[in-house]
Amino acid sequence: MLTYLLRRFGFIFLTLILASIIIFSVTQFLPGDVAQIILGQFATEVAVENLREELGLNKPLHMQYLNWAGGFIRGDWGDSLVSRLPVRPMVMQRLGNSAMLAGLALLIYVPLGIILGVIAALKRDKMPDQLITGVSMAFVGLPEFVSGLLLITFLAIGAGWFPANSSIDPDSTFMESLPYLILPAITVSLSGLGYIARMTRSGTIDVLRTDYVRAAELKGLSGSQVLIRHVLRNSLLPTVTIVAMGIGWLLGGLIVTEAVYGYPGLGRMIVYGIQRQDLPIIQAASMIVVAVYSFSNLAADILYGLLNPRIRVGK
Amino acid sequence: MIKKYLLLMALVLMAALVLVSCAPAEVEEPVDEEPVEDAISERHGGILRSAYYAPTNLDPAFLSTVADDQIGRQWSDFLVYVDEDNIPDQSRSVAENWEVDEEGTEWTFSLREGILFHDGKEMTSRDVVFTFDRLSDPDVGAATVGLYSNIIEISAPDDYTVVFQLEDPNPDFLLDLGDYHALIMDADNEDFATNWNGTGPFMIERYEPEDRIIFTRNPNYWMSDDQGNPLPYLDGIEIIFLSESSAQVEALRGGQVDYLIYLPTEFVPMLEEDPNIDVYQVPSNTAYVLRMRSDQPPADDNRVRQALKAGTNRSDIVEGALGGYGAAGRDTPIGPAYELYYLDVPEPQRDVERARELLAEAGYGDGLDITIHTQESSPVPAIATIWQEQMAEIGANVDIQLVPSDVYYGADNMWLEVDFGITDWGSRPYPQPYLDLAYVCDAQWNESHFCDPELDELAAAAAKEMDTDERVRLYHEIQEIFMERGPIITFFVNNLWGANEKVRGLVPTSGLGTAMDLRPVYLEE
Repeated sequence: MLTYLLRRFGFIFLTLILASIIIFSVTQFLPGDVAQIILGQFATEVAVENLREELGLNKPLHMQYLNWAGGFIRGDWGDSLVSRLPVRPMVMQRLGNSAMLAGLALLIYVPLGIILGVIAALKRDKMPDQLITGVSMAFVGLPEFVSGLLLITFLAIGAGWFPANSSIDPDSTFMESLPYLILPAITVSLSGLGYIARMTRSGTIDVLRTDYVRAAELKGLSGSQVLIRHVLRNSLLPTVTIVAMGIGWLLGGLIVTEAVYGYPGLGRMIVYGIQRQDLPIIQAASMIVVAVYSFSNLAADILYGLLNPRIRVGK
Repeated sequence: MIKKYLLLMALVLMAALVLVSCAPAEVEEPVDEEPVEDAISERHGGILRSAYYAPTNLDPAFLSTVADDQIGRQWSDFLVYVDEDNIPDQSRSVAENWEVDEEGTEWTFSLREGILFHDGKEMTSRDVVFTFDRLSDPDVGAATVGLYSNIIEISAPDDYTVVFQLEDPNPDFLLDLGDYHALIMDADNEDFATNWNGTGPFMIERYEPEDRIIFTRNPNYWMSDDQGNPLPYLDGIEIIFLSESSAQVEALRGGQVDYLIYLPTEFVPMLEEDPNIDVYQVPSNTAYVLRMRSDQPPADDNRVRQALKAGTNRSDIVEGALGGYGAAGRDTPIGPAYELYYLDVPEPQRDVERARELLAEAGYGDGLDITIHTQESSPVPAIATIWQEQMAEIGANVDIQLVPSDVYYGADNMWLEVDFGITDWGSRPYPQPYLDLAYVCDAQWNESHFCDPELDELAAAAAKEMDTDERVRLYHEIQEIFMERGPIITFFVNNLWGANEKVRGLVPTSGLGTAMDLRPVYLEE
């Protein structure tokens, strides 16, 4: 187990290095010149050139990369090009905010998805199944900027139940943020729900067909006992994986939702960074997303192993 | 055993979720209603909340966007304040009065006494001299270096007097001093990127570059209203940075913010229907300029330029792409918002036959293929699309290539090079900058590569003409040249704002930034 974990951590480390190279290279190819963007399109050439020098943009690319990567490992993530403030506290704070939103969304869509998936499996091919499958897949296909605007129009401006905009103070606590988190969380949930429901449904259907379930039924266990003791603990295995991997997906997927609601999370920060060509912010925030993705994948594998002794690795 | 607990937890979560998703959310009022204590007058108090794009720079020398401008004019002041109709207003200026000598080259300004910076230091002529020296210093590299190149020397004979020596007379000099970069700066300030010690009506309390900026009232501000009550009325301003215009508008409709500037035209009909929202608008010279590069085929031939103009239905484009919130130009950069300077002739009628004839004469009887490159941001693609349809009817096939705004205006200056393009030009307080920046032969941003010696001569004369009637005549003649052989078709858009009806005292401005003067603004409960 230990060697397995070590190997996986090593692999994640390699992934992060590779990702850092890709992220760094991609940010070099973004259109526009950083110094020009900072000073505005009307600044003189001299001022732009002075700023390029000051920001180290005239150094060779590989030196810029090594400086950045080295600093990143040491915990010095650089200063924002626009505000000149250190990037790390900002990114970590926004990560916390995104985690609140993602956490609430998970709380909504995972249990709901599992319930709907089980119902669909038990009523397979009957009306409830078709309804659940159809509606949840429709929401998977609906982009967040559409579902978000629909929710704002009906639930916030029409009914007045929720605030239409979630641009709260980034320092807000969870309880302060909660009213502003609900609509964005529902928006994200709508697209996550369908995956969970579908995965649970197919897992449950597979298990319902197995001999041991039939045996359990034949020996006289009640329907709910069969479902809880024999079906779910097996059928939820793939769902657990999807949920754990979904954490990474969530964090990246929040970009659109956060922009629609103006919620001060990591996604809104990435959009802002791209608009302002604020490279240290884009780089740090993207690295965080990659890291969360890698570790949630690892968590998914470990969880799967814990829940399913058949695929445990090593002794 | 562990698995059982996991299962139990999952069930508890499900229950919790059902509760969470069903419970009606309690929406808290975003701003605490604090009891009004010792309000100076009925109008005093309250925080004005707004939403806009994040600024790019707060250093006065490097302001460039509307967001930058709106922030700058809260924390600092102008030597000469240019009012809503583009006229210098002494009552709102740091200079109490001013005079010019007979040649029009020496301007003397008397400063108000007792104006304090936010840190308590008195503002004197030293700060004013420093401000304009910094703005015209090529090593600093501000956008205003060209604008102030006509200044030979700025001197301060005493603490409250500033004298500007000009090389040539400049009838627009007061307006130049009211340029949005010309915020009075503290001569002792060492870092303009992070220190905003100004004399303005509001002080920056907190600035989070991608989140919001919070201003508090400057209790020592020098202006007062008709009743002698001190301005500003508001206790503070909060601007939240939202990168989506739809999010800005939803925040206004949902009551999270009170005031929006630079409203895109497509949201106006929706807001006009909302009983809680007031829409403000005023004509401006903010223009979408469809320009043809006139130093290479096909538009180097004036018959082609005139054919494309003749085939254009300008009003249809204003209706279709700008929602009618604007005005069709007369193919000149000088729009109706300038009133006196504007050559008020009827809109040229679309003439498809004439357009086809002209194209045939120019050798494109079998059809003309052109490509228009332009920016993706609304309403430019709509303008391009409607024009494309109109051109098809005169036998010109237009291929539209859309690129992001920061590519169009980016480091490679695509907008200066392409054959055909649509460029947006901000409103200026007077027409001269358009000519000097874009249409004389060696203009810095001569995007249409237009060169006409007669125009150059007239533009140079207008720049120095101190007599208004003669200046009007010169500008009219210039507009005739544009109509006869110029390289542009222009569409002017109104300046638009939206505000909650409880916001009072807003006066729409035709100025460049569209940031209204917030000093006399108050909230009606």
